[in-house]
Parts: sequence; structure tokens; C-alpha cells
Amino acid sequence: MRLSDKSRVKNAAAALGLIAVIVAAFTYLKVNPRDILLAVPRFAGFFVRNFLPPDFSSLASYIPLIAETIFFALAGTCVSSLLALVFGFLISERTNSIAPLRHTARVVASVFRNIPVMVWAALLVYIFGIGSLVGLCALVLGTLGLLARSYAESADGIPAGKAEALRACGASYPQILFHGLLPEFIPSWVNWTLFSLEINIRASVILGMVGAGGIGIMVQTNLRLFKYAEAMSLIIVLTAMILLTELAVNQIRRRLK
Amino acid sequence: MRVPLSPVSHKLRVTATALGVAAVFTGSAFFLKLDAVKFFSRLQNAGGVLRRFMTIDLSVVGAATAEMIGSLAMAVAALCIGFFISLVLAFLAAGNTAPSKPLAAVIKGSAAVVRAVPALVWLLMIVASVGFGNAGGLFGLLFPTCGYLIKAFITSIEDQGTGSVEAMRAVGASRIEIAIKGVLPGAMGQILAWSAMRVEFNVAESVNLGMVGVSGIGAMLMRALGKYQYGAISAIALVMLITMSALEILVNRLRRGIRGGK
Repeated sequence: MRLSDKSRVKNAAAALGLIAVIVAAFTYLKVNPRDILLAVPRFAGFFVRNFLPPDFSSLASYIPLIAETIFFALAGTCVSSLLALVFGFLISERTNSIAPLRHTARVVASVFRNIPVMVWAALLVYIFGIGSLVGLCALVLGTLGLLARSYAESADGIPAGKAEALRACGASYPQILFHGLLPEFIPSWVNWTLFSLEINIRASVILGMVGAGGIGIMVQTNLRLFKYAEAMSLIIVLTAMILLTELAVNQIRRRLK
Repeated sequence: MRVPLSPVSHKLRVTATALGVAAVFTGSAFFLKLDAVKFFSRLQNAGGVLRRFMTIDLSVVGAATAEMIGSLAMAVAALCIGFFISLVLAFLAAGNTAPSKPLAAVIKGSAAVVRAVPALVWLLMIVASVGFGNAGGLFGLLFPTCGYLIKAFITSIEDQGTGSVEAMRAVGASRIEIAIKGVLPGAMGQILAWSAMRVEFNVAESVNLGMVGVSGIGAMLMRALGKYQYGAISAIALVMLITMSALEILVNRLRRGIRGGK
């Protein structure tokens, strides 16, 4: 297969641009690739000496915080998947014919999405004070932004036939929404909600590091106090928790198919 | 006779799911001691707080932009190194190109574990060992980057099937020839699209690293938050928002371009 000259020039230009960006990145950081190679043995040595073996002796005292982390993720997933449904339907052309409302919802969702969850948590402390509310609100905002876009894309993908048929019979807007569009949408809704549970459980682990509740704060405190072996025990528990969530979600997905 | 709009079994399932979700939420809210009254009373603060944020301290925009570029550079550099490592490992682990099954299982398993550790935890562990600074941050970002890309690349390579691999093996091509000439051309579009997506995650993680660390735009934000400098906070948040939004648009366009060019 021979590419045409035009697309060849285009590909070459793209490749050159890419190389320029990468070189610029390394130059800006003033990082020598050799430094990174040297960091490998240093990290491995440090890790084996300080993080191993993990010290599980005080794990029992962390159980309430670990449970809190899981409940954050569950509550956050429930709230954000419901709110995101509303947002998704506000953004999709299929369900919302008022253009200004559609664009506003799209911009709001993109603001929610493009400010990292950790930053939301830090900002929301000003409104809600330190505590569970901040963590939950930050989780909901971040996930809401992500889900709203995905839901809107799924809603756009619903074939128009059923809704049109309902409209032709004189169905009202709520009737079209609940009997024409929502049933078609439910499979992708379930799928995205499960996906958001996975994201939320990760986010909920790290949110604690800025004081928004959950186990993250203890990971960070232990690292700061150089109690690496204790931090390692927490990291192992958290990793197992995330792996189990992934496994459970995959099982649910398989069963639904 | 009235015909129900949806069958009874369907209605039952929907009700049961709704009740289940409500129960999960109530249980979690109860355990977290979430207080709806407190939520709404605190929410009334929002107006006052937002009004104070309606000012921008232009003097920090320059410094914030420089730090943001630093985060972008770190994301790109980590992606570049991670790309090559992941590509090699993915070829060694994908079902249709793997030289040995046990090796493939080891790579897939390790990637799953690496992926399960939150990116920020990787960064903190590595920064604890090699110190803050660009080399530490970059090396720390490599782990989550590779964990994610290896899984994505394996899927893209396995999508190519076994046909061309077997045909090339039959005419005596070496493994490297098969990988580069037989599999890569078909999988490259998807591989590039996955990598473009990873840039966004990497930038967000490098911002997060700053928030728990000492340098970068995240640390700048935390310092401004600690001193209640509303103008500086909104300026920094705005720089982040604009950069991340622009990046999102760029990545989406690249992905569409890659898909269109295939």
C-alpha cells in the first residue's frame, strides 16, 4: 500500500511535531534520561530496605477509616450517577431541544471534569469545612463531569425510531423520555455506573491526603513520619481492595450480559 | 382490557434495583454521618465564598502558567518513556505475539497490580525514595502510565488476530519482523489513541503530586489556600481549568484524526 504524497507529508509533519514536543518537555524539565535510569536501582534498594516487610501490627486501628473510604465511594457513585443522568439528558440533543440549556450544561460538566478531584476537595473545604461532606462533594463533582459526557454520548447513540414513533402517536415528553429513551439507555447506564465505582474507589483513597476523609491521610502521615513498613501494610490493603472491586465489577458485568 | 406499558417482571426488577441503590446510599450516608441539614446550611455559605473568589490576582498568572507547563512537560516525558516500555512488554504479553505463556501471564499480572495501586501512592513512594524533583516525579509517573498502557496496548495487539502473525511465521519472519511489519501497522492507530488519552491522566496526577508535595502548581494552590488569598486561588484554578480543557479538546481532536486517518 502506498500512501499519497499529501498524507505522507502530513504524517512526517506530525511525527516531527511530536518529536519537537518531547524534546522540549525533557529540556524544560532539565531531566537527563540517565537520571531516571539511576533512579531505578535507588528506588529498588530503598524499597526493599524500608518498605519491606510490611508491618501489619496496627492495621486493626485503621479499619474504620478503610470502611469510610469504601462508603465514600459507594455514596459518591449513587449520587453522581443520578445527577449525571439528569446532566447527560440535558446535554444530549436527543433529549433536550433547548440549545442554550444544552450548551450551559455542557460547559458546567466540562468545568467539573477538568479540575482534578483533589483540587475540588481543597477548594470545597472553604465552603463545607474539613470533614466527610467535602470528600463526598468532591467525588460527586469529579465523577459527575466524567459521567455526564459519557451518558450524553450514549443518549446520542440511541436510535431515533422509537422516540419518533411515540411522538407520532401523540405521546407527551415525559412519556417519550420514560418509555422510549430511558429503557434503551439502561444498559449503558449500568455499565458506566460500575465504571464510576472503580474510579471512585481510587479517588476516595487519595482524597484523604488533602484532609477530605478516608484512609489516604494515614498513608500520607505514615510516609511523612518515615514509618514506611506501616504505610506499606496500608498500601497492600488498599491495592487488594481496588483489585477486589475490579473483580466484583467484572463479575457483575459478565452476569448482566 | 388495559394492557400494562411494561411487563410486571420488568417493573419488579426496576423497583428492586432502585430500592437496592437507595439502601446502599442510606447505609453509606449513615455510616459517614452525613447530615443533610448541615449540608444545606453550609451550602448557603457558597454564595459568600464564591463572591470572594470573583477576583483574580493577575500577578500570579505568570508563575502559575510556568508551573503548569512544568506539569505538562512531566506528563509528556513520562508518557514518552512509558510508551516504549509498554509497547515492548505488550508484545511480549499479547496472546497472538507472546513468545512464552508464563512470561505473558507474569507481565499481565504485574500490570494489573501496578494499575491497582493509585497513581498518587506510586508517586509518594518513589518521591520518598529518590526525593522530590523532576526526576523523581517523572519516574513515579512511569508506573501508573505503564500499568495503564500495557493493558490498553495488549487489547489493541490482540485485536489484530493471529492471521497475519501465522502467515509471516510460515514464511520465516523473525519475531521482531512480525511485530513491526505484521502487527504494528494495524494496531498503531489504537495505540496512539490510548497514549493520547493517557496525557490527560498524567497531567492531573502531576497536579495532584504538587498538592501533597512541595513543588508544582498543586503546591502553589495549597499555599494560596492556606493563606486565604482568594485572588491567587482563582487565578491558579483558572490556569488549571483552561489548560486541562484545552488539552481535552486537543486530545479528542487527535483521537478523531487518528480514527479518520485509518
